[in-house]
Amino acid sequence: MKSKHIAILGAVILTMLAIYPNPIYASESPTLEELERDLYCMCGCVKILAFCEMSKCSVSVRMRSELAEMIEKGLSKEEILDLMRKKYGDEVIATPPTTGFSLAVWLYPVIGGGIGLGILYLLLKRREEVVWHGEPEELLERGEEIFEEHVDYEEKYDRLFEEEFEKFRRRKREEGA
Amino acid sequence: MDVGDVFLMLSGVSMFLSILGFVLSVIDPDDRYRRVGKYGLFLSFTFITLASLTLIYYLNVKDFQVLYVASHVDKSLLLLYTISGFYAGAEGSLLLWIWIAMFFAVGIYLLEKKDELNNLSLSIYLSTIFFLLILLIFESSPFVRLDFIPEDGVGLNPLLQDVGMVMHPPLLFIGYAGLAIPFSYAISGLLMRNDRWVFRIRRWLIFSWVFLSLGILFGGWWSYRVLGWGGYWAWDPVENASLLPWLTSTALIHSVMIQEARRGLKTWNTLLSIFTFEFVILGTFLTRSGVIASVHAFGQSQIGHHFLVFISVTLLTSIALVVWRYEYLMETSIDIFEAPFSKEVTFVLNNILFVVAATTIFWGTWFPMIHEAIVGTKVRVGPTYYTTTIGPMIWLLILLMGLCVIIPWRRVSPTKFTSKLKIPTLVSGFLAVVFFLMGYNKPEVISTLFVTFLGISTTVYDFIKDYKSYSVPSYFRRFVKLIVHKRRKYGGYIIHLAMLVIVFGLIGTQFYAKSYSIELRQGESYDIGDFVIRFDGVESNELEGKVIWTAKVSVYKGGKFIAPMEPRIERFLKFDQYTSRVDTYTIPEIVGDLYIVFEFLTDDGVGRFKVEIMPLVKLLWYSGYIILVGGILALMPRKVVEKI
Repeated sequence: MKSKHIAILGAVILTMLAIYPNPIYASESPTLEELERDLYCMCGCVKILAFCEMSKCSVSVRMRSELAEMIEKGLSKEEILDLMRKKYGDEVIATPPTTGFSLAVWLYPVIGGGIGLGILYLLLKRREEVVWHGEPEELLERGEEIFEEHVDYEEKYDRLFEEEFEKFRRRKREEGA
Repeated sequence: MDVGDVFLMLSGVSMFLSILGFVLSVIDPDDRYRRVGKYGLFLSFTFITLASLTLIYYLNVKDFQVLYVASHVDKSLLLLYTISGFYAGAEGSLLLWIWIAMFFAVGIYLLEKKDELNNLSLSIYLSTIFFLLILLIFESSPFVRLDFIPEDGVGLNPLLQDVGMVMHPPLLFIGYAGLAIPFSYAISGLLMRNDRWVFRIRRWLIFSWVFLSLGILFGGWWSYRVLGWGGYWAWDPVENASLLPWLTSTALIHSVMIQEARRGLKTWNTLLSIFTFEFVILGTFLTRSGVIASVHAFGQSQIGHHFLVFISVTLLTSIALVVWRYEYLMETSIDIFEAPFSKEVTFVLNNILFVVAATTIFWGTWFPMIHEAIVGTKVRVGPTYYTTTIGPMIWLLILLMGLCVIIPWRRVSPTKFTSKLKIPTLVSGFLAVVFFLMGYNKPEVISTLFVTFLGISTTVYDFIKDYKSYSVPSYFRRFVKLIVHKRRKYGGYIIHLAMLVIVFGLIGTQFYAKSYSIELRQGESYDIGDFVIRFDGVESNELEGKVIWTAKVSVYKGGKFIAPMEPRIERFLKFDQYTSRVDTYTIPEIVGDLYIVFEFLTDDGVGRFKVEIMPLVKLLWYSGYIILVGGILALMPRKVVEKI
């Protein structure tokens, strides 16, 4: 029953994540708006083309008209980005490629999430020594007091241990004598 | 030496004495040392306040002999912006940060228990402020005087002359200064082997988180209204830097609850407190070092590198301390789960997501530099990377937000969990279908709407259950009593609600915004959906220091005139800088804006406009009020609650 529920929940989550759009896929008929988000304006403003304001930048005007021309010619997104890279250099591309060393930047979230889930699994497996002090709402009022009790509890057992140990040593000494 | 510098020096000396007093009071619990710490703290606060007021005075009287005043204000500047000139530059903003941090330090001293844990935490907190103060005094003083008195000042950057920019920096600095408090408590908790620090940080953490959130929202609001590109978040390195401590502190707000309830996650919470603080300093380093190109940077300055040293020292020391105390952390760390279906599991999952999101953004921000260092060529990481990677994480976080509400602490059986989920799922499913039939049929939109509705419906479901269990006859009193008495829970729920409102805003603006680039001659019109835009001409005015070209635009709906709009281009003569002043018209039925940017006017009288319809954008700004309400509720003191 338990694993069935987990499997259903997992399947629902994965399906929903799978339908999440992936903008890095090459698009056959790109729009200007889409391309503006994948290219940096080369005027030195450190903004992508979509964010560079026209009243202050002639470079963005030129780049947009170049893109409009390429779209009109029916070029694919990949071809357009390639032509822009050839003209302006690698720095014009706003989205790192999914090849070579750049793959590391794309893989990180998956690896990070995987490590996180691994830790969660280990924590779920380790369920031996569990204490419960109360819900956070309850602890808001007397959190530290409860905590003090716990600390006292520990100290009490430490003291008991030391007393017992002292007794043991005394007995050993007596036995030795 | 200026009197402002004298105040800074005196503040530094008394702060040093205060640190010494508090440290000695931990080693030798004699009240004399604590008193030294206390008087040093109050004196330091007084002197830093006097230094800040001195700078405000210089700005107000336009004492242009002071380099900072001459660089950031001029004679024509309005009073509001003259005062905001206080934090327009790197030096003033550092002073503001220290001033705010000293308010926090005094607050900690007055409000928290005066015990050894607190004294040590205060000394650590003051040490972080002391570093900033030393930088301010020796490297970045705002009180440097020129040998001559300039006729006029340079003035304030035109883009900063906006109410959004008046509010954004102080709110952000409140958040930043406050997030050093969990760090200070965590470190002193480690040093003293005292776990009670988790209870002490709660109010400071929530307070700082609320202000950091409001600061980020104000930044987005300013960007939307002033920069004229039709957006509010550009995934710029400095914007990202403000998001990093927000994400890790959000994770910490959740995970400390597990430590409170179970004594577990001790190492994790300590690390989260450390990294939240380091991310705050990293943001400061980014804006001041010029190491990464950003539209928000103050420009390259010497002090940026000191922050790098500070980050390295504090991070290495903190990690070394964690390693040194590892045995203690492990000895007293307790397992945290009783069952896989428990609130604890949802909290750990949300922590994983928040931390992976933060580190993904961190990695993306620094990746261009790393790529260049290793491969030798430059790559850029733009918004597409972040929306692709962070988008699914946001989706999962919304889902968890809905689920964690109906999963109780400790354990719940899968059968009970599914039965509790039934009604909220049916309601959310029904609403998602309704929206689908209404035409909102993009898969990503409909799935996001579904989880958002699930978040709302599970919260309402839980509220109804709690409400029914309260036996107060008056409906209103029962409502007030419930949310006030369970203020930690409902404060959190209200903030969850604010996040869901933001999600609606994101859906509207990211998926349904319409953008038009149009060119019109005087008297020409253009159809935009339900609206018609008519360009009536341009009026130019020359005011003190700037030339303004105002485009007169009439907006019609259904053939009826509804509003005049006046987007402007302003040329600031002193800076020879052009800025667009966006004009917006609120469209109540879409809780959004008709947004017009006047881009330029050609010589033959053609006006070029960028027109956008931004559905649900208002929700992004309204969420700030909801966050504030949730924060106030969560922080309501016990004394007030007892009276209700």
